[in-house]
Amino acid sequence: MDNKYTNTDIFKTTECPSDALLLSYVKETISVEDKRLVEMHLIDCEMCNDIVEGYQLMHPSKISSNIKSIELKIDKAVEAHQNKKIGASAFKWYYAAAAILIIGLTGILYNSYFNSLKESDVAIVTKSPKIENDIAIDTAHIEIEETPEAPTESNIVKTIESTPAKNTESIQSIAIESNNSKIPVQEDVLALSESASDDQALDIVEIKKEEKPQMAFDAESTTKSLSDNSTFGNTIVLAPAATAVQSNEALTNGSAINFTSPATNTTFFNPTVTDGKKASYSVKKESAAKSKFKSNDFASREKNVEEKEKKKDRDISGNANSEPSNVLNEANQLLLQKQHNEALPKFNQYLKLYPKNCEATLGAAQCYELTNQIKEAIIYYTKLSQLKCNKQADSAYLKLSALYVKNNQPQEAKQILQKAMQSKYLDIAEQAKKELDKL
Amino acid sequence: MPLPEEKYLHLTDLELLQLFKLNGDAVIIGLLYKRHVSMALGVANKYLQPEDDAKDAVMQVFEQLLQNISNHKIDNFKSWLYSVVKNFCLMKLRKEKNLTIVREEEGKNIFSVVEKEQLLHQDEVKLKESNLSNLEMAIETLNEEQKKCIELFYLQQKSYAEVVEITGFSLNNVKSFIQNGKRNLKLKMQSVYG
Repeated sequence: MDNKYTNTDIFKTTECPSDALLLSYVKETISVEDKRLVEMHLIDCEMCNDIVEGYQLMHPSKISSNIKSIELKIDKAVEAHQNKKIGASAFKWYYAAAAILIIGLTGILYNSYFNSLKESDVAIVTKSPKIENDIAIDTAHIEIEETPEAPTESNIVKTIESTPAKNTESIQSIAIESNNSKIPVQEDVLALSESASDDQALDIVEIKKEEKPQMAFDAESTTKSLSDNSTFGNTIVLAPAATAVQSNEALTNGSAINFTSPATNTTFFNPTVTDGKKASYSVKKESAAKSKFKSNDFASREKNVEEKEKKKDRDISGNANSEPSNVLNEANQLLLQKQHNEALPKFNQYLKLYPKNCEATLGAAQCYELTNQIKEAIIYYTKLSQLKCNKQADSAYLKLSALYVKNNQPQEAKQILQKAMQSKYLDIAEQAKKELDKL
Repeated sequence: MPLPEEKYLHLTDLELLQLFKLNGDAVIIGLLYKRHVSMALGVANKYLQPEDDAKDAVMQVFEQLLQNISNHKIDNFKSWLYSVVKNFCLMKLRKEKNLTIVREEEGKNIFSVVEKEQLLHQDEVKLKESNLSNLEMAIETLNEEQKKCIELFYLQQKSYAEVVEITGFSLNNVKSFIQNGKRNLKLKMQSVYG
């Protein structure tokens, strides 16, 4: 059977013509034979068909120029890619070198920094606050132990002031360690500072109040608790002074001056005049319980410090394990029992530890006075007046004047009364001076 | 001293690809791409208009080749590149037309799509010469347009332009009738006479 399709290549597959041939086909610069081949291929080849159709959408004269322009862009892109690759690698090396340099310099700086630090500095910097407190405790111990003399309150206060850690906990630790007791921190600090020196005590307390509100609150509350404790003043401090009240000292002319309760600011000055009439002057008892730290009245603050000192001493006395406290407590008890000769050595024993303690100084002075050791009494009252023990010092002037009179030293008595007239005992001092002038 | 490209001119496409994977020299990819840039431009220009968009697309595809070509297994670079360019253009068209429905594979790397479509050009049905006798009967089953265009184009070996002139159909219609007629003939020969 003769088949008219026999010689046709309708299903014959052909390879894709070159792009140039396709371009020639579009530009119609191709031969008839090649055109036939291209068109037969286009029927079966989607790719070549798309190429041809894309070419046919462009103007024939622009096809070659467009291709050339793209080839130039490709060259530029290749060059840019190569430069970027080179730059990227150089960039990495640059940063790697910089990082190594920075790490090295940092290591050198740290090394030199830590080498330049003292061992103690390094310890403080690297320790936690809790450990730092422990260091402060150790420092306090060292300070006390290295003191050639017996540890005094002033030494401890200096240690506290020189301790770098100024926070509450560190001070608490120092106070606890130095006193070997479980006294509340703030009270202990205040007591220590006040017993060392009134001026220092005030300064320290004021610093606490101003720098740290919490500290100021504690100091204030402590002061209030101390001031409110009226029992303390009557039993511990006032009792020895009260014994002095009972001993009216006869003046050479028969007059008598009574000094009562100097520690509690209650003073009874009862001069017995020549006509036998006794004039009594009572000074209104100032309530220590109502005094506040916020008050600008310096006298009030002095009273607070004095009360806190007593509170500290009371706390010390309350601790059975504290020997100095026991000594002072026993001395006061003996003084109350009029066992002056037994009380005197204990007061002096306590004064060896705390030479600036007002209560012990007053007790010793009273013991000397009541055992008729006038010169020694004068010495201790003079010391008491120089200690600036607030009311105790002011009343010491009056006591001193009486002792000078008793010791036949009227001029010294007058000079002391001049000082007493500058205190709040002005009326009493003036009355005493008048009586003395009459002698 | 030869230019950097000249030392690679004698290498085939696959040899250049292998060499590029070894040394990473961008000049090799530049040379390989320039071999087929006319194809890429033609395809891009078919789908993207104006011409500047087509040229930009050609360069963008080349930038992607520089970064990713080493990650793909390529057997026929020209066919692979054709699919890459075509899919790139179609994806760009879909983005421009804000088409929300995009095939999942088209949203991925265009190269992954290309590798699947490499087989398109190889999907040819080879008929034996012995089946040609049955071809006449199969042509009679085509519709008039396809039958007329097939006879003019294959039997009378007319060009597209001549078929257009004889039939009065447009060039695209002529192409379409010829392509569809040929496909139907293949299907008929395979099902009835195969």
